[in-house]
This record gives sequence, structure tokens and C-alpha cells, in this order.
Amino acid sequence: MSAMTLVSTVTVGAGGAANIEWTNIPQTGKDLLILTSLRGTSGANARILPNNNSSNHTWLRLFGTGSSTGRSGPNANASNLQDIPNNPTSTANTFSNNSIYISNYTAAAAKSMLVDSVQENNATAAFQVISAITWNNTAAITSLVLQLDSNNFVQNSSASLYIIS
Amino acid sequence: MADTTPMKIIVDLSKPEGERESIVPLTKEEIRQRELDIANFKAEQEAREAEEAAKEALKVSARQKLVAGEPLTPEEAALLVL
Amino acid sequence: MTMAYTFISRTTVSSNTATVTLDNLTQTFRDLVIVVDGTLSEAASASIRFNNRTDLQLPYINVQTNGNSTQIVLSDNSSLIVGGDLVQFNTNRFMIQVNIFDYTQTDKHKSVLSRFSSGQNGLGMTAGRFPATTAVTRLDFQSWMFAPGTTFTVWGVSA
Repeated sequence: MSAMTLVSTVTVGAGGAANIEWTNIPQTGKDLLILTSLRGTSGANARILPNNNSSNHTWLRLFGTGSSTGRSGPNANASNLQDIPNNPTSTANTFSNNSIYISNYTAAAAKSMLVDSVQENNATAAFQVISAITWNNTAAITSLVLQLDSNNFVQNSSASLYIIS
Repeated sequence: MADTTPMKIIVDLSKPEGERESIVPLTKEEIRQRELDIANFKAEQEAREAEEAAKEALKVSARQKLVAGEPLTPEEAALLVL
Repeated sequence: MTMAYTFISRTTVSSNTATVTLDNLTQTFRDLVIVVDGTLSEAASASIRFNNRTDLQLPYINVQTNGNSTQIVLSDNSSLIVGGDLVQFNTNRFMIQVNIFDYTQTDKHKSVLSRFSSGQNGLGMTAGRFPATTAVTRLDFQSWMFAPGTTFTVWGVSA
């Protein structure tokens, strides 16, 4: 039985996109994995919203900036992917690499998410981040919105959704 | 003038491959909510940064007082003593 | 295309349980991935014992934050510690991902990488080593205690 099935890959086209959304996610798996390559037209903050719901998110992160380390949180807002996409000041044609793992996405329980991320840049400043997110909602996840906080993901940003059984 | 309405890509997984993806503009309500969320987050971040700055200022003051042999306030002592 | 990630087993706890044992692990893969998702009945850390060995000390480094402070622990123990003093899992939902590399190999020690996430309670990661050249055939996940509904899912990764 295939345990890790690619469901969809989205590649942003020439106009850019503020959101990448998956709807009607099959409820046949156990976990979800989203692998992304992202760059924004402004800033580097984004969010992952199960069922397009921006409520009941809490998150915490550890990060390195290239010249220092830190932590932030716990936070209780939906901007739960801080310093994840490459920002527009990073080296041209570079994108961040990110992994978002969502466990037990169909369960009638709160959802845990684990984020692993690294920005790319030919300079000192590049964030490496691990984040823990809880979406305190017992609904099964049937859709996902990946959204930049402001403006767009640039062309050639991509996101792949896998269902893990 | 170029249309700067933000767009979103929707992938409807109930549809067959090749028919799933559509690109549509964000609604006014979605744009309004994004702007509200951004404003709320910025306010939260500013408050957090102010708190960190205040803590750092207390630490600096505490270190200076230690060196000068002056008494620390309870807040300064709490920051230095583990 | 051959899928390299193969489902092996899923165990769901039905009552408060202190130890979940995965025994007689299939030896047909190269690496193992285990995901634990659930809650505890009260605040505690978690650990993993390999092959029911209590005679070996597993070296590990553990980085964790609870939002107020960050801790790095460099130590060894007869079990691999996941979470710890600073980040305790509790009745809030948590997730632990464990990657055990080369678990069937008999010519090397086994590297283990783990990440754990407990929403606003904390997060962290552990890198450790099972210092034995014997294949890993059994894993004991220990805590106090895994609450009903907590799942342990195992996948094998082919070389």
C-alpha cells in the first residue's frame, strides 16, 4: 500500500498568488505533509490555515537568523509561519524550503503541526526555523490555505500536498 | 493601470486531475480580514518587542549596579538570578 | 514509481498507558519513521527504549523551548529522552516524529533524529544514537501516561 501519496503540486504562475488553497482533501489518510518552495513579493511571513480558519491557532518557534538565535511565542494568532518564505531582499531566484507536517488531520481532536524551514540567501541573513503549531479545533481538515501575510508568492513558488496513510 | 487585486489558486481535489486548479481573486471580505489580521499581529509584535527591550534595559541597569556595588531593584534581581 | 515509504502499523491507546511497545519490528526496510500523536493524562516527558536494553547509555543532545526560555541538554540515558524538564507534554495535543536510520544494519550504531511539538507548550528536537551494532527489533515508548486516542504509527523507508 502506498503510504505517502502526492495529491497535488501547485506552481505559482506569472501573476503571483496571495493564496494557495486545497479544497475537498480526501479523508482517506492519516497525516498530511506539505513541502513548499516559497518566495514573497514583500515580507517573509505567511500562514497555514486548516479549513481557512484563522481562529484557535497557538504556536511557538525556535530560529536562527544566520547571526543569532532566538525563540518566539507562545503566540495566539494565525500568522503561524513567520520568516518562512524567502523575502524579496534575498538573492535573486532563491526560494525557501519548508516542510509542514500535520498529524491526524481527520481526527475529532486538536491538530498538531510541525514546521521545518530554511531560507536561502547568498549572505549572512537567512532564517532556519522549527515551529510547533496547534490548531485547537476538532473538525477534520478538509481544506488548507497557504497564504502570504501581505502581497504575493512570486512566480515559481511551489507547494506539494501529500497524504500519508 | 494594472489590476493589483490579489489572486488565489484553488485546487479542488474532488475533481479529476487536470481539472482541479483555478485562479480567482480574493473577495473584499478576505482582503479585509487579511488586513485586520496583519494589523493585529503587528500590534502584538510591537508589544512583545517593547517588553523585550524593557527587559534588556533592566539587565543593563542591573549589571551596571552590580559593578558599582549599588542595590538592585526586585525586578532587576529577578532577571539576573536563575 | 515505487513508493519508498511503506505503512507498517498503527496502534491506538484505549486507556491510560505508561508504555507502548513495538516488538518484532519487520527487518525489511532501511529506516523507520514513527509518529506519535495524542495527549498525556498529566504533564510528563517521554522517552524511547531500544531493544529493551537498560545496560547501554544512549548519548543525545536535546534542544527545546517552552516560550519563556530555551534549554540545551547534552547527556546520556538508558532511554532516548524526547521532551524533558522544560517541555512537558500534557493534556494538550502533542506530536513526536522519530526517524531511526539504518535500523536493521549490523555494522553500525543507529542515529536517531526526533522533533516534537506541543503547540504553545513547547517544541524541540533530539539527536541521539543507539550505541549498538545489533539491529533494532523493539521500541518501547514510555511516558506517564499516554491517554486514550494517542496513536503510534510506524512506516518503513526503503533504501
